[in-house]
Amino acid sequence: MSRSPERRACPSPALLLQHAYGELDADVALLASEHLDSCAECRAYVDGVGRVRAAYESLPAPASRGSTLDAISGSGRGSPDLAPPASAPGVRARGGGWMAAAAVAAVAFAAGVLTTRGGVVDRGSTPEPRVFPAGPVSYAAGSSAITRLGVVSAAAEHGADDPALTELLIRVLETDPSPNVRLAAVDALAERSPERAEWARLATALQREPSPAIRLALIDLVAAGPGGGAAILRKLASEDADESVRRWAAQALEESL
Amino acid sequence: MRSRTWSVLLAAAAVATAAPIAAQSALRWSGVFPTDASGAPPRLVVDAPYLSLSVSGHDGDSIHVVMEAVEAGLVTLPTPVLAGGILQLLEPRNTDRMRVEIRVPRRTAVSLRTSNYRPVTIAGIEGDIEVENSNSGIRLEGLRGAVVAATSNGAIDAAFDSLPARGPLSLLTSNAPVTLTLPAGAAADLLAETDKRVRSDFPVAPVEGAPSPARGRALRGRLGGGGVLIRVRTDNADIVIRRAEPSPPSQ
Repeated sequence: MSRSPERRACPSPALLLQHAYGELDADVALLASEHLDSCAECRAYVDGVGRVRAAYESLPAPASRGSTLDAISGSGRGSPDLAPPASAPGVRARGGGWMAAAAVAAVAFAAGVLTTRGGVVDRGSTPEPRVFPAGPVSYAAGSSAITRLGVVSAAAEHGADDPALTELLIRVLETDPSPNVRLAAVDALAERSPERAEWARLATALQREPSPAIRLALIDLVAAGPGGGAAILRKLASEDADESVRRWAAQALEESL
Repeated sequence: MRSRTWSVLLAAAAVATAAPIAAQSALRWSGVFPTDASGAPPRLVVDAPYLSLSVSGHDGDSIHVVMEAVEAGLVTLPTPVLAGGILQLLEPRNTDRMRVEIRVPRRTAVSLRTSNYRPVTIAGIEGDIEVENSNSGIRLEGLRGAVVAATSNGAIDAAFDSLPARGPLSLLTSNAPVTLTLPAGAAADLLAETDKRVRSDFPVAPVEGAPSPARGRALRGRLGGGGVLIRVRTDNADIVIRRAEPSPPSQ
């Protein structure tokens, strides 16, 4: 794992990821297992991969994703990080969703329970922005953003044509509470070729994404897809709260015509 | 100012059952929580809105917490309650007027989440750091571990004494600049993108086959032969990669 000279024998993160998913040939898997027996650092990494994998696999399908937080907050809105594309520009108002998020986190953390990472509300053609549970939830599960980011970065090196990893990256984008992890997923997805049906999910993720900087990255991704995402880009170009996103979308739209 | 319910979680995993040595006045609360020096690195989790928050590392083995009202009108301060390894502070009043300073052992892993108009400062920590803020900045100094930092409408200023052997380092904001200061001999894989400018004191060797951005500005490549992955992203503002000034020789 480490790049320092004394640790050159460590397998790459990509190989450890394959090992964690049981995808190595038997002889290579045996070598990896032997290495893990003697390397606490790599063992911890693989353990982290396993926890993240289990957590993501436990998520419900996107269309029916659980909304523990929504059930408590009642609206799916309110986080100070949220920026619906149609909202007014400028600094966002303080929101009450933080309290609900913190309360959920407090309950979940105190109970030692991992709640769902996402709270997507599907209300027809205009996606609602997401509400994410607070940080301690992921810490309570032993799955920090640092670990998840490491997994996503490793996945990015794993092979552009693996549909299971593409699906994982899209689900990360749809559900992960950390904007840094979602950005890494976007970067990894940019080097893949999602299926046509997956572009629709990326377009939805673009409309739901709270971070303007990630919306910029997603615009490039969506613009490269079938049809160039013209309708969504047009909407963002005229309505997004962030001036850079409006300009970026307009440029992408112009280039796609 | 609107009243709101809020909660603060201060979790130090290695401090599960320790009672603090505490002192409280009307406008100030302080406590010291011992940690197990021989055990796993402690963890600190702070999760509360509207805090002015600073965390710094020190050479001792205990966690020091100081909460202080910084404006008139805050009559009482929250009292920490230990439960299940979590130090919880619950108070149905504003936190807008409160400053929290926490000193932890340098090896502590830190996870902070706050929001809105208050800066976060973290200094002298060697453990991994996750920090999330919004509508204000994040200042990181003297770091040695992995860092995942995100905010919006606030600058990120991060300075590393040395890069961790393994990453990740990820800095993300919007509508504000990012300044990243690295040691002179830094070896890293850099991915920095914005729609404004990216400037670097370091020569960056391009990676063959790396995709070019559709628009905007990106600096992708290797510093010093490559190493830990550094991902920096903002919009509507510049990214600056600085080389740290050499430390003055000790007398």
